[in-house]
Amino acid sequence: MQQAIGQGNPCRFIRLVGACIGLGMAACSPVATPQPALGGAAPARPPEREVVLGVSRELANGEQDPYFAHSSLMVWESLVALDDQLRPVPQIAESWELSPDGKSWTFKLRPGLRFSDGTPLSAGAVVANVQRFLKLSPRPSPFFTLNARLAYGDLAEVARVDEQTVRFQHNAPTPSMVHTMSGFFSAIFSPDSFAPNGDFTGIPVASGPFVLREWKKDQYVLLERNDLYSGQPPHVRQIRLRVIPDAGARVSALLARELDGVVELGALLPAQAQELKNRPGITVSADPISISQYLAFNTSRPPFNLPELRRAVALAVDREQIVQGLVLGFGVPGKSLLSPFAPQWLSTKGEPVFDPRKARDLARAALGDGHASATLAFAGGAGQARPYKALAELLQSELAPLGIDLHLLSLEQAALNDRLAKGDWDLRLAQQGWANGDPDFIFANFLHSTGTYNAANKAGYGNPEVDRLVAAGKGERNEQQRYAIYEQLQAIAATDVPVMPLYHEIAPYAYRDTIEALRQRINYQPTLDEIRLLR
Amino acid sequence: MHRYAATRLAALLPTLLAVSLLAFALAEVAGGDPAREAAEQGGQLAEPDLVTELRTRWGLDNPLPIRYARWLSAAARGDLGKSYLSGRPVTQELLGAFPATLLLALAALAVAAGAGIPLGVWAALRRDSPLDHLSRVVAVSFTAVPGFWLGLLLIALFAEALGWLPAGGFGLDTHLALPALTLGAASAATVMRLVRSNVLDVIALEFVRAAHAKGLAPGRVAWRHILPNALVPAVSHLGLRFGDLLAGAVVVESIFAWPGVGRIVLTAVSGRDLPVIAGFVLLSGCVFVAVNLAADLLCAALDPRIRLP
Repeated sequence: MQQAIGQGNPCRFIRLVGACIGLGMAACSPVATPQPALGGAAPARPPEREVVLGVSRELANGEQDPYFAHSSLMVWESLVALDDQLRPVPQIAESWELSPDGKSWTFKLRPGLRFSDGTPLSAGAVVANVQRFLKLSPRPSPFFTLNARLAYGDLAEVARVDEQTVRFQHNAPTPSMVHTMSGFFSAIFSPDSFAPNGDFTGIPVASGPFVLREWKKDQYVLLERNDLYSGQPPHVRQIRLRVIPDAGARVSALLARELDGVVELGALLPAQAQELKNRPGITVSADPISISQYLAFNTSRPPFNLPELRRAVALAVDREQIVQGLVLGFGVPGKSLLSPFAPQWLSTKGEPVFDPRKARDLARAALGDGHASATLAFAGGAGQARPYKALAELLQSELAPLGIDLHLLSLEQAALNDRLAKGDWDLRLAQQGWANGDPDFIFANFLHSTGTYNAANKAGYGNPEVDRLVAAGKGERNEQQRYAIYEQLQAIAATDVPVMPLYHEIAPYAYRDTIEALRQRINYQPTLDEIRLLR
Repeated sequence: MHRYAATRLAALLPTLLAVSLLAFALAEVAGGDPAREAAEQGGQLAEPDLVTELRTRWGLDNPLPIRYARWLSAAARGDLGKSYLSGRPVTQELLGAFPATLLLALAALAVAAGAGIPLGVWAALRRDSPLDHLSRVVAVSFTAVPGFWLGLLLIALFAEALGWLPAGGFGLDTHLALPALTLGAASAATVMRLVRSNVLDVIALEFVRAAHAKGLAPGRVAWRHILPNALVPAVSHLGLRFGDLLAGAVVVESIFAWPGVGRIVLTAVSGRDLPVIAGFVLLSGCVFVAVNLAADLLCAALDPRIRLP
C-alpha cells in the first residue's frame, strides 16, 4: 500500500522538511567572497601547475660533466650564442672586437648580470670558467666533448681587463673564435660551483632563465624560473622534463595526457608526426635544426676514386624523393654541403640536379661497359631514429642503372667506426651537425686533406686548391671575402663530390592544447622560456 | 644447509673472476675504440689527437692482461673505475640504477609465480575442460608474444584508452603494474604450464588417493599435499629464469622509461664503455648466484627429500 508524504513516518517527514529549509536558506544567502584576513593581503591564488614535457634523452649528467646540463635546459648561458641562422649573437657578452692583427679578442659583458644566487657575473667569473675549461680539456660528455683547443685555438692568455671586459690573447690569428667558442664552449657558471679540480660540487649556479631545482637520473629534470634572470623572464614557473627514451612510449604518454608536449632532439618520428596531425587537441609543428645527412665516398680506392663516377652518383640520387618519401617532408633536399638554414653562407653555384640520363652517361664514361661493386655502410640496429636502411635500399636501386652493384652493410656504430678507421668502406651514410655555424668547421673537417673526417675515416680526399682555400678562409677577417672563399669551396665540393649532401633536417615536435608558444631553435633547444600555460 | 650455503657462496669468487675475464675478452673481440666512441658523443667529429690522448689516459694502449690485472686490483678495493662516456663512478652509475631493475625483476617474478602457480593448479584440477584448453592457448600466446609488443599494447589499452594506469615512469605504486606485467607475462605462462604438468603427475600418485580416501577436503589435499610436491620444478625454473628477467628488463625499461640499469648497459655496450660493462657483469653475477642459492634453499625447504650436499 502506498504511503502519501506525511503519513506513516513523521520523523522522516520532519527530516525532509528540515533539509528543504536548509537548502532554501543556502540558496538565498549572498555568495560568500574570500575576505582578507585582518591586516593581511588577499588569499593567494593556488600555485600554477608545472608544465611537463617528454624528451628522448638524459639532459643532465652530473658533477663530473663539463657543463652538468645540456643547453636545452636553459640553466646556463654562454658568452656568445647562435641565432636560428647560426649567426653569433650576444648573450653574456654584449659586444666583441677583434684586434687588427687578429690575435686578440675583447669581449664586453652586459652590465648588471647576476647568477641565480644573486652574485654578480663579472669578468673574473668568465676568466675562471675559461681557465676551468682549459684545465678539464679534453673531457668527454654525452652532450659535447669538451675540446678547449677547438674552442679557443692557440690561446696564450685569457685575462680580466676590468669588471666588464675580458681579453683573449692568441699566438696566431683566430678570426673565427667567436664561432668556435659559441654555445657549450663558453658556458659560464658561478666559480663557487666548482672545485679546484674543475668538477662541480653540486648542481651548479648559473645565469640562465631557469634554475635546475631537482634531477633524478634517467627520470626527470625539474626546472624553476630564475627570478633574478636579467632578460625576459619565462612565463611558466616550473617545467618538468621527463626522460622517455622509446618513441612510441613518448607519444603514448602524450595521448594519455601525462605530458603537455614532446620536444628536443628526436621528439617525434616523421610517421608519428603524420599520425598526430589528425588528433584533436594536439598541435604538431616542425622547425629546422642544424643536423644534415650525407653520402660520403671513400676516394682512396676504386671505384669512387673516379670523380666522374662520384658526379654520376650525385646526378642519380633523387633527393626530393628522399625528403618526401622517406622523411615525409621533414627535411630540405641537400644542395650544398652547408645547411640552407644558415643562408648567409649558402652559394647557389654548382647546385646538384637530378638527371638520371646524364648520370648514366657519366657512369659509362667512367666504367665503360663494366660494372662496379661497392659497399654502402650505415649505422643500423634498434634505436636508430633515421631511416638509414630504407635510404640505403633507395640508393641501391638508384645506382643500379649506373652499373654500380651496391652491397648494403648495416653495423652498430662502434663496429662501423672500426671499419671506417681501417678504410674498409666505399660509401657510407653520415650524419653531421653544424653546432657553431662556422663554414670552416664543415670544409676543414670534410674536405681538407688532413681534416678530422678524412683522417679518422681514411676517406682519402685531397685537393691542393681546397687546402689553400680552407687555410685562407680560416684566417680571413673580411666577411665578404670570406663568403667568396666558401662559395668557391662549395663549387669545388659540387664538382669533386667527396661528400654529397642528401637532406637537411626539419625536426617535428608536438604539444597539447594545454600550452602554447612552444617551438624549437636550430640547435633543437625548445623555447622553454616562451611557453605559456593555458590550463 | 648452512654448510651448503657457505660452499655455494665460496664458489662465488671464482665464478666472478671467470665472468669478468670473459667480459674483458669479449669486449676485445667485439672491437671498437672506446676513446673514439667517447669523443664522438653528441655527434662530434673525433679529432685524432684527442682520441689518442683519451686512449693514453685510460690505458687502452696496454695489452689486455695488464688492463685486466689493473681493473681487478682496483675492483678488489671496491673501485670499479669511471665510465668512459659519462665520467661518473661506475659504482654510482650501477648501484644507483640497479635497485630499480631488481625491483622490476622481482615484481615480474611475483607476477610469474603469483599468476602462474594458481592458474597451473586450477587448470590441472580441471583437466581437459574447455577452460583448461583455453588457459593453455592463452599461455602459449603469452610465451610467443614479444615483450616490447605486449608492453606497447598494454600502454595503448590501460594508459591511452582507459587512463587507468600511467604510461611510464618510476614509482612503487601503479607505475610498477604495467612493466611488471609485461616482463612477467611470458614467465607466468611457462610456470603455469610447468605447474599444470607437475600437478597432473602428482595427482596420479598413491599418496594423493590415500589422502582423499582418508576423507580430507579436496582443497586441503590440493594445497597441503599436491602443491608442495609439484612446486619444486617450478621454483627451480623461476630461479634460473631470474637471469632472463634481469636481461629482459632492458627492453621493458626502455618502453616504460623505467630508470633501471638496462639502458645504462645498452649505452655502455654500444659505446664500448668497458668499466661499466665489467662492473655490470660483476654485479649481475653476484645477484644471479644469490638468487639461485635462494631457489635451491627454498626447494630443500619445500621437499624434505631433497638433501643438500
